[in-house]
Amino acid sequence: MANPSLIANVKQQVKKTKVWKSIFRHDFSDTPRTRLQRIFGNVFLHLHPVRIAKDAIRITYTWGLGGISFYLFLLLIVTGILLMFYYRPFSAVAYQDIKDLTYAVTLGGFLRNMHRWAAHLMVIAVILHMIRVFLTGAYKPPREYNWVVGVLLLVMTLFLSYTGYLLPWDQLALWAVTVGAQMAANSPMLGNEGPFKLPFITTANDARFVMVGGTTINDATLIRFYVLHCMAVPFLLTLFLVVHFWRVRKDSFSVNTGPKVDVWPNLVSRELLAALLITVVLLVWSLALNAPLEGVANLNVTPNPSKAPWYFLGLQELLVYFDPWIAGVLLPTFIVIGLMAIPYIDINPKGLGVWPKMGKLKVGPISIPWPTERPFAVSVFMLGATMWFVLIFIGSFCRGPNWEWYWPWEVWSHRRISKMTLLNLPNIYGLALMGAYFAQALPFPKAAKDMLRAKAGEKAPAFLSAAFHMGLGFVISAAIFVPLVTEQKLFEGLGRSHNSPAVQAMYGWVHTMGPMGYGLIGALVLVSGLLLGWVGVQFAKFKDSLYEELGPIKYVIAVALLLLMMGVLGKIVLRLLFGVKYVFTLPMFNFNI
Amino acid sequence: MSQAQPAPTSPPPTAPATDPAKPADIWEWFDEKFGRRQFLLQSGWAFFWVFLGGWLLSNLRYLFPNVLYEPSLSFKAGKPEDYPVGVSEKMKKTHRVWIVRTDKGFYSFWARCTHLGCTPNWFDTENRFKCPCHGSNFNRDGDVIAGPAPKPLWRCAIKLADDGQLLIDKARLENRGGAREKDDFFLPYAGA
Amino acid sequence: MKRLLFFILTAACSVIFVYALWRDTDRDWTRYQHQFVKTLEPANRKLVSGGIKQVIVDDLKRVDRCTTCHVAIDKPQLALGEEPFKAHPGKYLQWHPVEKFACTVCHGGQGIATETLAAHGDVKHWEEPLLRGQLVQSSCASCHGDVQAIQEHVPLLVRGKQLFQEKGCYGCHVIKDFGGQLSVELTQVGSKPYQLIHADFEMMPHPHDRIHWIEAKLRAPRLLNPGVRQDQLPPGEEEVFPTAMPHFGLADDEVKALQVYLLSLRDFDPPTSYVTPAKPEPAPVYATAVDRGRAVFQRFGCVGCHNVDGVGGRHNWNAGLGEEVPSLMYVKMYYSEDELRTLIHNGRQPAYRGRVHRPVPPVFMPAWKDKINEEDVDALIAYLYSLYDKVLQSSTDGPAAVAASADVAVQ
Repeated sequence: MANPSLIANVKQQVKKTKVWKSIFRHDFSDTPRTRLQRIFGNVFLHLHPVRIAKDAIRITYTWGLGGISFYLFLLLIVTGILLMFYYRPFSAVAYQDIKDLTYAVTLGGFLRNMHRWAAHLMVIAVILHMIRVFLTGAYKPPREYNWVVGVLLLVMTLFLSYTGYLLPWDQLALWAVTVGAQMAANSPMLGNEGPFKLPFITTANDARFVMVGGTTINDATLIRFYVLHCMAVPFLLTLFLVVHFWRVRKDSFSVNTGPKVDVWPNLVSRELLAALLITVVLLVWSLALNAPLEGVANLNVTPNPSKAPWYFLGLQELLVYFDPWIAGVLLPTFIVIGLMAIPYIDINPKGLGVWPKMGKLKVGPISIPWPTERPFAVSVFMLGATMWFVLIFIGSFCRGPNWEWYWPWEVWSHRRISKMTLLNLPNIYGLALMGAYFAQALPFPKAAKDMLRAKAGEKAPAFLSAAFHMGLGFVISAAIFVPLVTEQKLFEGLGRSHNSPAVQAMYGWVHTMGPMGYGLIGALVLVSGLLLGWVGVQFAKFKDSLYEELGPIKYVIAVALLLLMMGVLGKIVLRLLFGVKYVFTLPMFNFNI
Repeated sequence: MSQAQPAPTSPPPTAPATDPAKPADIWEWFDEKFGRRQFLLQSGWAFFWVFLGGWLLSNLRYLFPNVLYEPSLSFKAGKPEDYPVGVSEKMKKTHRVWIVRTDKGFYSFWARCTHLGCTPNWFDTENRFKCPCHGSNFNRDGDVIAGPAPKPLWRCAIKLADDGQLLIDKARLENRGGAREKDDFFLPYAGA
Repeated sequence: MKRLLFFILTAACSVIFVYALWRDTDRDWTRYQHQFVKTLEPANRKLVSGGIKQVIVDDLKRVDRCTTCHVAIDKPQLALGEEPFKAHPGKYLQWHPVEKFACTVCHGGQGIATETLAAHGDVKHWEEPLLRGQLVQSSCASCHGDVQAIQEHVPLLVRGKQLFQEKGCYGCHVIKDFGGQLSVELTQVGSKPYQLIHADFEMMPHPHDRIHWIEAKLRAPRLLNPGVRQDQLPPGEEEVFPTAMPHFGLADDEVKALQVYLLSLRDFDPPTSYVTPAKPEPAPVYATAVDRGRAVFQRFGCVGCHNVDGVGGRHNWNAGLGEEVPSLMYVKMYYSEDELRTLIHNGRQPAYRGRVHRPVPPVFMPAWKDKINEEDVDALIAYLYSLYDKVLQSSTDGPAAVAASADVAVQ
């Protein structure tokens, strides 16, 4: 009976002590004053503003993805520090230490699982966060710079994953890192096997050498990656994270109109719940699934297939289609630069702070959901993101031994002999193909249109534009099909490329129908040329208005990035369907695309 | 303040008098622009950048090790008569090379795919090297016959040492047709 | 709503965590140790201490935790009749003290693991499965160079080594720089990485480990390497021939013996203090040149293709006649001594004489010039000539009839 009052009494006494008062500067009754004091009286909480727009903290607006990424980063630091107590970065014992964690350390395997899966979750969360920020236009002025910092944070997150991958010193680790290191050796100028190699570069001083700490992957590499993973990259990431948070506060939230609410308890409670939810997910995942650990690293035996972690499989899949320095160095650079350039290219002020409004787009009888407010920006970005995930899917589920194509339901076989042998498109055709492809981007400036109109009549510009695009369509189509039919190497001579699906079909037509088959192929060239031309014509007007809007510099950057992205897609199709190894090759510069 | 940003209002030194906002006396102007205080500040910044840049560069150099704890790049691979005609994987385990003997002589490959550095395997029955990472295939001459590899396999320098053993040097590599079949990259050896 | 969510999530967290903790403490080995201690007299219980036990042998780079479950392996007075509580049979532990040899160096398995399946190596990514039963004999050869000296303990190993020579395996396979070059080197076949066996695994039932692979290969080589027919390949691809390894029709015990011998050929280099070197084998004394020739015929594996006593009949893609290796019974009739010597020296080039458009198959008569010394070649020729004499002796019809029938056979 006396107990409640006794406890209350003790509480009162404690709160009166100097020690208590020196730590907690305010009391905890729920008054407007203490709500405020909690936020700015606490070093951790005062990252938050005191009051925030009600709409900004709607779960369905942010999905808490930024906060979740940060929470996972904290979790990774904690579990990582714990793992460091048992792990020694020497090749002789590293693998054994990881086994020990699983077999002989209390909750060691569980902690390792948590660390591994939290890393995967963090990659997912960061990517989703980026997609969310893009779709809600939250990178638009004045937040352009913070988007750039965010892209850097994404790159660092991936680099953290990559460096952590080597530490278990198993086969998975060794070969993922071998592939990564080889990309460094293929980098232009600084890599020993790259193009435009500087005269003094050898295996003993190129980009790969400094990354690996020698010419082969050994203890020197392990300690390098260990330091990068545990100290250097987390340090950098934390620095940029501070900048990122600071800018969020300084630039204000992307939603800052409408009624405001107190951050304590409205936002703080949501953050707590999100963190708890992620914890539960992570705990269940770590219980259900053990982090992979293959056999001990062995440079003489490459696992078949040897796959990078899933988030790099898109990149690894790209490596099949292009020369290593293009797929491994140039394209990732373009992706990162392209992402960073987005807020500076996209000058459309609409769509800030709201999810894209969706309407319907009618294509013949079907209607597909389509953004109405920023259709171009949203569809291009989503196409890029989708492509990336499709590549990851192909790499994860459609590639088997010897990186052969297997459908997900097919059984892998180490005996299968390569079904599709690839051949290059003759350079002259490749050049025509690429030239026509990129020429599609040429705008038709208003001044030129006016001039033409004045000289040759009202319809002249439209007519010229249509003719131009149709012409390009036919050039592209012909550059793909003509060599398949006429070039002995690709078709008649049965140079084994004819077993690519498309060529096989055409071959079948010719065989069964004779001259009619050739007619059919001709018709196909015609139809696909028409189709490509038609698409060009459809976009011509939009293209011209984009040019007027952006001006030449932004237009060139935007369109170049877009065409490169679509070009990668096109090359993949050419490879998988037509068995084209490279469209254009300059062996002396390793320029094989 | 920094030397990289000269005050935008300062006129060109040839026409100081035309600007009323500036001191009339050119010496006064000169003193302000290049005088002792400015000199101290600007050369201070110069030293700062020299130090910082030098320090960063030296740190970059620091990351390039000068000594390596690695097996030597050149090694002896036993007597030529121990190798039958064909592809030998004997030295792959320790030194990561294949030694190929033809009826004309010897050459050796670095067992490293030119695509991304995985270790291919030799398949005698299919008469080709196959890389497990991205499916590149190479024939006995090292030329690419399938897959994404852009270049033929690298051949290592090979010669006979004084004691009659094969001496292989991985530091010197060649893969161009023509160059790789002669000089140090091919060891003529009769008696097959 | 938020409060409910908060309650559910925190509750879930703690429940899952408690479950994780419980699962972490409830391991195979804790259960076994409890089970074992319960069977002991209270007085004996203090002889056994709980927890993970390990034997560390730095020289052999081993950390073996097998004794965590196999608690009584070196305590016969406490041992029970069932695994994992049995004592080690025989006097082997006295000869090989656990502190010096640990466990996995002989028995295989994953010493560092503390879960049954993983410790026995029956898991993915562990390529040293437990050597069960008599297979453990294969480990003795790692240190005992002189296998004959311990032959009563390793009958299968001795037999296997002998069989390897008798069946002519050396004709095609090299072990430690000795043998023919037609096929894969077997010097380290006992630790061949699974990656290089994967293609064969597809053709055999589980379990897919080295032990069962060797067995399957010995029993029916063609089942594992049937080749790829031309019509299964894209045009332009060269046909993949089935393995040239003959079907030897080995009995079960022969398979076991050879399996033990092949498994003993490992990539394992124990420190010299562990090794008993092999005694140099006394040079064999032969009564006659023919005896010596027979020994040469066997030692260099001619038997593998030409069959026991040169009767021929093994399958061969190259052979001009009936796709079989020719019999050697009649060489005396067709070859002069010099011709025979040249043939042995230079071998036969792998030229396909049957169907010209097909690729060169992998079986041919190798060149023995630098491998068999001249006296041995002389003896070999004497032996081969003696085969014809044997034919004559065994024939009741006399030489002419034999020659006639030989002609028929050759045609």
